[in-house]
Amino acid sequence: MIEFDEQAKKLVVKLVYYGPALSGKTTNLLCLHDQLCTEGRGDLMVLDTVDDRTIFFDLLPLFYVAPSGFRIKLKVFTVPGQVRHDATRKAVLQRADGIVFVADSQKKQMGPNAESFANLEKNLAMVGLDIDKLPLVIQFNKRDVPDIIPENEIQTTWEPTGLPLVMASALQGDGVLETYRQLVALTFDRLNARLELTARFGVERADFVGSVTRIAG
Amino acid sequence: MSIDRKLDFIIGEDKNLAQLLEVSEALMVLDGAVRAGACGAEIIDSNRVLLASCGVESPFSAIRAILVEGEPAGSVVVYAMDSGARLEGITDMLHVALQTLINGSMKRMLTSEAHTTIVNQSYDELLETNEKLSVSERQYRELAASLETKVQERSEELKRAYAIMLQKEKLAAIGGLAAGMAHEINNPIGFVISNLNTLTKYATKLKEMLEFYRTNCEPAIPAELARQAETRWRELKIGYIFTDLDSLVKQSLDGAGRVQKLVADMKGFSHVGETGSVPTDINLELEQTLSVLCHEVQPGTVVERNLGSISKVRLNPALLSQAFLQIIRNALQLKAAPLKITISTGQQDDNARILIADNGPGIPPDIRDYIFEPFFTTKDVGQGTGMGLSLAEQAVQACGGKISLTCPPEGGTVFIVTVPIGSNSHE
Repeated sequence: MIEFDEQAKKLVVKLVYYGPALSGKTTNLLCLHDQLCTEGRGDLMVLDTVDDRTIFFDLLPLFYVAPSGFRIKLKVFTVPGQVRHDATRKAVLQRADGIVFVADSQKKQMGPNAESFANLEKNLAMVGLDIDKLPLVIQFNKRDVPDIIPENEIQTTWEPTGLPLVMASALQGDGVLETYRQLVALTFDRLNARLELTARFGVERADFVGSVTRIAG
Repeated sequence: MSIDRKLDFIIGEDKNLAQLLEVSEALMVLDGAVRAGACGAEIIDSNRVLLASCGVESPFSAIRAILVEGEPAGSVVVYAMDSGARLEGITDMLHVALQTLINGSMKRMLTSEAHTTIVNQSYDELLETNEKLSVSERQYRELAASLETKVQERSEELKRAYAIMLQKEKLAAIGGLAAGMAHEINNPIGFVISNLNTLTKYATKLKEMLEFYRTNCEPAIPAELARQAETRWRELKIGYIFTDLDSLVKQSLDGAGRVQKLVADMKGFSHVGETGSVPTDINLELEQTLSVLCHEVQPGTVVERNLGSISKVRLNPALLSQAFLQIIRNALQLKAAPLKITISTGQQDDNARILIADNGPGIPPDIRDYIFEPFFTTKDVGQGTGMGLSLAEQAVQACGGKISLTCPPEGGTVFIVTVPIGSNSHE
């Protein structure tokens, strides 16, 4: 977590969209920015993007204020997917509270998916985060393009891990909110277990999750 | 070095307005508002702290919230002489300009600061990697260096072992040959001795017969014939032959007897057909060894035996005789006139002790440590193999014993062989 200030009644949470290059991480954030209610979210900040490739990262801030006045700020980041930006990925992963792994459903992208996931495991270990405890949602994106891995095959592969799995088409807006909602809920549970947000600050799970995932009317 | 310590910039850390606002830039924009017709303009943060101001306050004002990451972080206030569209317009323009400035500043911070951090971190990691690599390179170098020494040591060891093995094989071959020869010589020497004994008896009989003729028949034959016989007797030196015959046969028997003993000792010494440990009489082994070496004993050399009683020790007798052979042979080659070798045996505590002393020049202290090393020799090139004492040490060690040497102040060298009698002793 980026910041937890009891006196200022403030918590800043970091969520990260990880995955191979061109798997649709920025598209996920753009889609969230479009779908989520403008009240309670800031503008998407796209930092230095060249030719569709993110060089630094994207940032979408979201806010929640509990009835008690306790404020939670969610900062949703993407990482640059290209192999050469590993150092940036590591810097963005620092103090992350939850991860979405955006995999590319195309058959030819299986290699990059696996490499990127291995890279995620390695980098999490390097920044001192435990992949087994960190909230993690797997999204298989680009379900709308041809020559993709069948869903049952993906289910068979990922089921044993017990990780939540979401099929998505970020360009069409499908599955994006679902992915985000699952991550927010998991992340809340983990933070609540550690910080007793409900007991001490009156932050109710349903209220929080509902608020930060409310779609534009 | 932990990564946490290196990263002093956390991506996503909240920034307040004061951190994001470049006052000189903000003043230029505020000044623009004043020139556009406002009386004054100011920027305050969320705690109502004044961050920048320009011009003067006046009764009418308009206010706009400044957002950082979508959250209000402060406000901009514009003062004018009257309210209305003009004030609102200037305020809107100023707000947009400031917001753009702050967003730009935010982006710059996130990118360039993150970038700097990342570059520094990557550099530190490279340094660390480099350090690790040089450490491992150093280790490999050391390993390679020590490997060379180890290989050298090993090949030395192999060379030694090979030389020792060769020498042992040679000895074994000689031993086998000696045993074979001993067996072959034993039979002929047996009938030579037996025939010589018979010959002695025959000669005695012939002598007796001749004497009989000489004393009893000669007076009965014609004088001329008797004279001729007497002449012939003298010509043929029969009288001398009578006396010499006995000593000749005696010498031959003596020689043949020595051959027989030598052959028996050789056979015993080589221990052909015996393997492993057997209860061994150490004194007997010494005697056999001396016997085998008798031809190497130069005239004038004194070999003194001072053999005490020792219990039989269970060991490989061939090995022990090898050791004795090498040590005694080494002593026999010393140039001392007259050479005297004293061999004493005895039992001390649970050990059999064999002392082989000579009256040679002794061994200089600086080479005493090398005396049992293979190939170490003080003899001229081609004279010694340098293997003798090394083999002796090996043999004694194989018997579970120890070999050492001292050079007493009165001169000479004493080799001391100790063999534990232990529980393997046999009466």
